[in-house]
Amino acid sequence: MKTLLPLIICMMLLTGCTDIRTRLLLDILAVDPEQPVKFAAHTSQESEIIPAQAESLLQMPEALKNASGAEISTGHLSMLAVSGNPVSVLETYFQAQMLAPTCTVLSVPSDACGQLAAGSLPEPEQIQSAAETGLLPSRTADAVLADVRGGSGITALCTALDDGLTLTLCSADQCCAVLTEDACRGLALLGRRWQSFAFAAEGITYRLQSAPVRIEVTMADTLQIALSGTIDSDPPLTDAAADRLTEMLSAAVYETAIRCGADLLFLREYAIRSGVTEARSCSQAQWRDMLRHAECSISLHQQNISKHENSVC
Amino acid sequence: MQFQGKRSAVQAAAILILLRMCVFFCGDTPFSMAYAKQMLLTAGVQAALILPLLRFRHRLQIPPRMRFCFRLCAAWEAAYLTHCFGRLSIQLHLQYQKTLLPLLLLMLLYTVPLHDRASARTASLLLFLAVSGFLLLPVSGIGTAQRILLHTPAPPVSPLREWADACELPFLPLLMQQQTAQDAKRSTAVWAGFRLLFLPALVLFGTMQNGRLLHFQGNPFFLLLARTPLSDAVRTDGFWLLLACACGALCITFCLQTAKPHLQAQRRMLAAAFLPYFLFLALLRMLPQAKAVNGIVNAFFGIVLPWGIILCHCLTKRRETA
Repeated sequence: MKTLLPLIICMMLLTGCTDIRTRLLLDILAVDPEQPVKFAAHTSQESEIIPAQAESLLQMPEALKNASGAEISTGHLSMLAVSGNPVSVLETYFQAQMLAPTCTVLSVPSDACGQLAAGSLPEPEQIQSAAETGLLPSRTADAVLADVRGGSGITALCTALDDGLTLTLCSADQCCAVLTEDACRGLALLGRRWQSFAFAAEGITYRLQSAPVRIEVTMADTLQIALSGTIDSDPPLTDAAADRLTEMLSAAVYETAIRCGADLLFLREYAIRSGVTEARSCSQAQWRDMLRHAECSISLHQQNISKHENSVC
Repeated sequence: MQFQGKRSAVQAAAILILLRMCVFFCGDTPFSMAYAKQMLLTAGVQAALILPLLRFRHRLQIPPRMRFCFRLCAAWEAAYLTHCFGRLSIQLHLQYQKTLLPLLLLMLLYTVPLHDRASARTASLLLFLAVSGFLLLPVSGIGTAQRILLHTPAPPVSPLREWADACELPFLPLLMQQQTAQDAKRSTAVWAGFRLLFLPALVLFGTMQNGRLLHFQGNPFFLLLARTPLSDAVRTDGFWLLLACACGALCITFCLQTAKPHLQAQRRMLAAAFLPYFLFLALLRMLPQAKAVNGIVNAFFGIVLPWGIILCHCLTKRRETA
């Protein structure tokens, strides 16, 4: 033990695991990326909002430290709310490792700091609950940036509008479109992060038990996106219910890939798996273009009962 | 080089594995299918060249003059690992970055003079902790891993990088000598299994988690940790951070213990280990490109020199017989 004690002390000093209790752990951070950049932070230890200002985004820890009088840690940030297009803000913080990859990102039309101070921003739990019930796909910082850097350069961000939460498609410098509720639900269904997924058709509520939808991307004259899956629901799907699900899936593919060229469903990876050589070597702009000319077909099966096919786009 | 008694198979395997793991923890190559393939290919070549050494282990007697070269190599590896360790602290934005080197040196001054059996035992303990952690990792991350991400297009990885990362190679022949024939076989087989199966599998798992985040300019392993449900913070994952730091400190200690000659005077012994270490460290600080030499150092001391020694031994013996 005598031998180990100095080593343990050195280890604690080397890793910086010494002053955790004196740090303020940010829970929610709101950023208005104007000049000067405005910040508002909610910590897990205190209920008051800490407002601050700085010349640049990276000065956030110092600005909040000066405003609060305590060291700031962003390692446990659960939500980042940004006014306008948050992609560049997100990228700056992610590369500087100020952001946990699993942090939820929220795009706010304007004045994110003011909305956080007024308590009008949705809680991170509310967004998480929407993802768990299949209303929205899970859009964390890593997923958002992965689509910008690795997909077709367009990503989907959770957005708080007056009438509730939805998704906005954004590239690194501009926002392209706001998705409909059906598209959001379709993306959530395909994302498979939901714990319960219920939807109504002809006055009956259907609860999905499992819905492993398979995606195939092949190349004919244009890209062919085929979605197929066997749905297990309670009660079993009727034709009308299957139509409703097909609508959601087709909205998801049409509004993201075919209308805007966004690849949120790893379509490029599916294409590479199927041996589409163009997908391996093309640029993001070329891939967007290929997606915009793609055709999509959806085929859903109710487990052990019936088959429902629908060609959509 | 001090030889204070035989090492067990577990201890030798633990040291070899931790040496590679230390560089892996500090690496910045993004996880991708191409990286896993390159890793597997290079490890295959290394294992194919190293495993036959076991057959000629009795002829692998390092001449006294050559031992000085091996000691220099060990000091170089210690400096290289320190350089990697510094890079890890920058990647993870650790606190006390400026005091990192003085703290580490103080620690080394305390650990290097200790009996080298202590570092071998600590290595076994750390390996046990690492294995426990690695067992938990896929269990917690299986829900978020996506197999389709294995097809994410990624840039090719240079094979030279894998050679440079194989810091354990020069120590393989040294450790073979410090073990019984049976233990040497076991520890080398465990090392080969780790390099050929475990590390590529870990990279593949990381690819399924990190996927498209190939442009992330940070540590891919800690990114993988942060993306698994096991932890939700980038830098405050205490267990892995402590493990990585302990791994680094232990491996540098082991290298310096190998670098110190067997002398009665403690100060002279330490000076003989620390002086080249400081020189190489200064060289790496002033000329970071010098780290590219590590691949050549590893290949030369781990493969070329041992085979050269064996060949010379065989030729001498044949001449004597003739």
